[in-house]
Amino acid sequence: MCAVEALTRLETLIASRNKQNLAMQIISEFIFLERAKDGDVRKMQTVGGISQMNIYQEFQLILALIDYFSRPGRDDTRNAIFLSLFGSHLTPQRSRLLSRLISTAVSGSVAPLLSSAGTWMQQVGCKTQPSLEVAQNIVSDFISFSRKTPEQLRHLPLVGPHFAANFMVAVADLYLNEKRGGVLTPPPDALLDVITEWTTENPQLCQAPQQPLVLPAGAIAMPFATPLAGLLRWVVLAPLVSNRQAYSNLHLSLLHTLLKTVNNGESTPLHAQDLMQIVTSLQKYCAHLAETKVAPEEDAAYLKCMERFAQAVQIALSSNYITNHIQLLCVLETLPHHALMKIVLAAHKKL
Amino acid sequence: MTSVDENEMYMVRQAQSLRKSDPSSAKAWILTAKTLYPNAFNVQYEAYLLERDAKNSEMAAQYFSIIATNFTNQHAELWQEVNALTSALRNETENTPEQEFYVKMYKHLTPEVQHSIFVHTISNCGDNLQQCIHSYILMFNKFPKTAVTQAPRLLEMLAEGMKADPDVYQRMLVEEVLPLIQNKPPELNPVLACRLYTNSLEYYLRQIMDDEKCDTTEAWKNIFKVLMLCGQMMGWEPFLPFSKQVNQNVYWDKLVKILRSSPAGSSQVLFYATTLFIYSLHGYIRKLRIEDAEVSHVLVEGFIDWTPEGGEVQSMDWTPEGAEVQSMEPPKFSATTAISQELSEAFLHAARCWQLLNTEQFQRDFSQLMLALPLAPWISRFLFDLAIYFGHRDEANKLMADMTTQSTLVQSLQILSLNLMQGSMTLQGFQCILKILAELPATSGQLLENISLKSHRHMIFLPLTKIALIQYCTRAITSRLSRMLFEPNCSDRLLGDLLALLQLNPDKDILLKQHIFNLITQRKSFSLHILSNYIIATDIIEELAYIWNTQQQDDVNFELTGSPTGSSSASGGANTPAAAAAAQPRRIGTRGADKGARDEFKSLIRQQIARCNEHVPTLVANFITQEHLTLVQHIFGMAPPVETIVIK
Repeated sequence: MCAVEALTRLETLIASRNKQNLAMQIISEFIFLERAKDGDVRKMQTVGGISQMNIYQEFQLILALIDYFSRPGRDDTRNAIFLSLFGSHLTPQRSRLLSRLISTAVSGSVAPLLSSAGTWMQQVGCKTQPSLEVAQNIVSDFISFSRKTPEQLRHLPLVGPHFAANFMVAVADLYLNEKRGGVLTPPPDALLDVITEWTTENPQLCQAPQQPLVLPAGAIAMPFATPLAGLLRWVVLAPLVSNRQAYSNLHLSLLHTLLKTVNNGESTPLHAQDLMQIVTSLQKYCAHLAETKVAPEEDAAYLKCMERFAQAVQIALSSNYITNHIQLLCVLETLPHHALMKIVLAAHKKL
Repeated sequence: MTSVDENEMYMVRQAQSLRKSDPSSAKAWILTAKTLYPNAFNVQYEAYLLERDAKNSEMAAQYFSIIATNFTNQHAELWQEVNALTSALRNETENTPEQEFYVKMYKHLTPEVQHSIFVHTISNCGDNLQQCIHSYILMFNKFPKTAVTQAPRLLEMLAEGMKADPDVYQRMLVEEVLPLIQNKPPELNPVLACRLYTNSLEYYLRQIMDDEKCDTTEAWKNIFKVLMLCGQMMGWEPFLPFSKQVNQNVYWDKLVKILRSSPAGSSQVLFYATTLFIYSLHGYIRKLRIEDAEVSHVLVEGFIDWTPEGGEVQSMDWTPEGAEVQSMEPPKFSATTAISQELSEAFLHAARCWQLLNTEQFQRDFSQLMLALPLAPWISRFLFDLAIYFGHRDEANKLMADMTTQSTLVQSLQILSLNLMQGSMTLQGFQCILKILAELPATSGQLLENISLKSHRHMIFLPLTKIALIQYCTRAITSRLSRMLFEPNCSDRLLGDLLALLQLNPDKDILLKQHIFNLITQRKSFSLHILSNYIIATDIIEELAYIWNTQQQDDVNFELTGSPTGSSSASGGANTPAAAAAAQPRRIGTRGADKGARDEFKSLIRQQIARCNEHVPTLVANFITQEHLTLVQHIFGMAPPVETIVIK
């Protein structure tokens, strides 16, 4: 119960920059009920204290936070409080609490909280550990342990588009990513379906993070990443591990997104580097093919990968959506032959 | 083929190969191809096909718009789709699912594209007139504003088409085009407007004539509507709208009003009068035929009461010269049946219009119009009736030949009527009577009033019923025979036959019967050998019995039955049943009357009275048929070989 009062007090404290420490102390002491081992408040912020909350208290805190964020109020204040509560370095306890809080917000479609959570994700970085944990937790809660994809998750782009977009960035990083364990793990089918549905029905979703963040005074907005890069990696590499039709649909939906968001100088472009990872994976696969004496040009999976890759590159280039594209084209040329890729490269080299 | 074309085709082929198995991949190919070759028809068309096959009407519309705007006039595939689209739009109510898709897609097109589709379809029709017209109609439906400027062109095309195939284009004009331009008639050159009206009229008349189930009121309502429309296009003074309740006089008065304010031979009067004429004519013909009454009617000459004292004011025994004088004053129509009044009104209205239209100012144009319209069967009947109405016998005879569709019964009746108009009964007329009696219809009907009037010539609408026909034939004979009573020395047989004929209508001709009885009473000797066969009317038998009784006191030879005496008996009687009955002569005379004869007479009277419930008209008809030789002899004073007379 003291958390409720603490939250109200925080509002005023956070407004003034020189009372940050006090605010942090209050958060630690009265909200998360943390005790530093040596009582040093400053240490507490970095190392984190040991919470004495039991499950019931945690539950009460989540309810209190949901309740607080549901109240009418200024976005910047809410975002500031969220960022104060959950920084980029979280104690396991706070991290766990955050995941639960967000899952609860998703199930309850608590739009203001999801909005703050989206801002938080962008500020800490979508591909950082805390964000990935949150994403992983949502997948567990709503996909892995759910027989049917809940409506709340399917409607997330409508309730919290910003959060949904950042969630996609994070979740895209979790799967079909060789940087994670050196193997390509396909996303759960239900997740793939949800993402496809999201992008198909909300073509602007991948650009949602583009909206300016509402941050407390003095805070520096972090650049946002588009989920397109990660999702393109999914669809391009998917033929190596899966034949699901859903990838075709997602691929088409991504192409539409690329086509519609013609770069007007404001939207986040795709960086050539983002696509390099795909090239690397394909090169690795071709090396593997070479070992088994199969020509890549005769490998159906490779051809399908290249087909999608070439299509994506072509449309992205035609939309002026890729930065540093000369570099990318040079790298693409080194890949084993593919008819469409050749056409695409030829078309853009002329320019 | 350039490498660009090759690449383009390669991508389209890739998309086609995936169309069924993986539509999303196919679309991805096309999407890519479109960014590479935005001006390639094949790519855009494939994009459209993919959406079309996926029944995605909105996206399909988007692609269709691109093709329709950028690649007109070039590609057979596109026109195939345009045709599929327009034909689906044409009958939106009964479409296949495939066509429904086109209709849906059409709704997603922007109005500009929709309009351009029609414009291009029209300009691409080439020689296909029908398709072109369909496209116009469709365009007017979807873009009513275009009708104002484009309608004249469409109407010209329709007029053109009608030259080759009147049925198809008339139907299109009437059913599809006219409703479209009804509210905002375009300006049209008068010749074309008149032609279109004539065509519409022809269409509806065919409908009325050919389709028995046709709602004629509806058809006339439409005809008047089209007339108004064409009138509007030509700036005519508006005529009256159609209403079944409106008396035709109202229309006539309006016509006269317009006539007065119009220059001679003006086309508005021509068309209004023609329409009115056909309307009346149709009403007349319809009422003559079974459609409106239970039985058909035939216009025939009425009879005129004849008295020896006053003679006839207008005798039926006209001399040819007399006929011309009398024809100056048109005859009246007798109220013989419930429908007579309506029939005569319709006839007179039609006649009035006909006369107006045959005045010099309209005659040429009107006869041209008549040639264009399918009215021949109605007109020939009407003209024939008109001729007999005016007493133009020669003309009627000529017109007789035109009426090919009539039954022989009607024909016989008309010839009889013509003969009666001529005055005295002719052999041909008598032959007709026998023919009519030989094919009497089954419908019984009833006796008519007013078939014979005093003093003036009149016409009768004779219903084709058994009794009415017998009555008419009988009347034709009696009106002739009755005059002979006043000639000296008429035979016993004539008196007897007249009595037999007069039985038909017991309440009528009282004076005539009285005259006959007087003649009988005056005679010292009288023989009535047809009594047992043909005379059953109680009033006549009573009268005869009375005469017999009173004559007994005097010493006269009063023979009511018996062998034929003198020249009054039928000479050819051996062939007839009546003659067979007379083969065993019995004499019930007053001379030397004994008790036996008296009893025999009484039993004869009783026997005849007992037959009083017999069907008198049938009896009379049988009498005429069986005794026709005697009757011919009465009328013509000889016994000609009737069987050999051939009626033309």
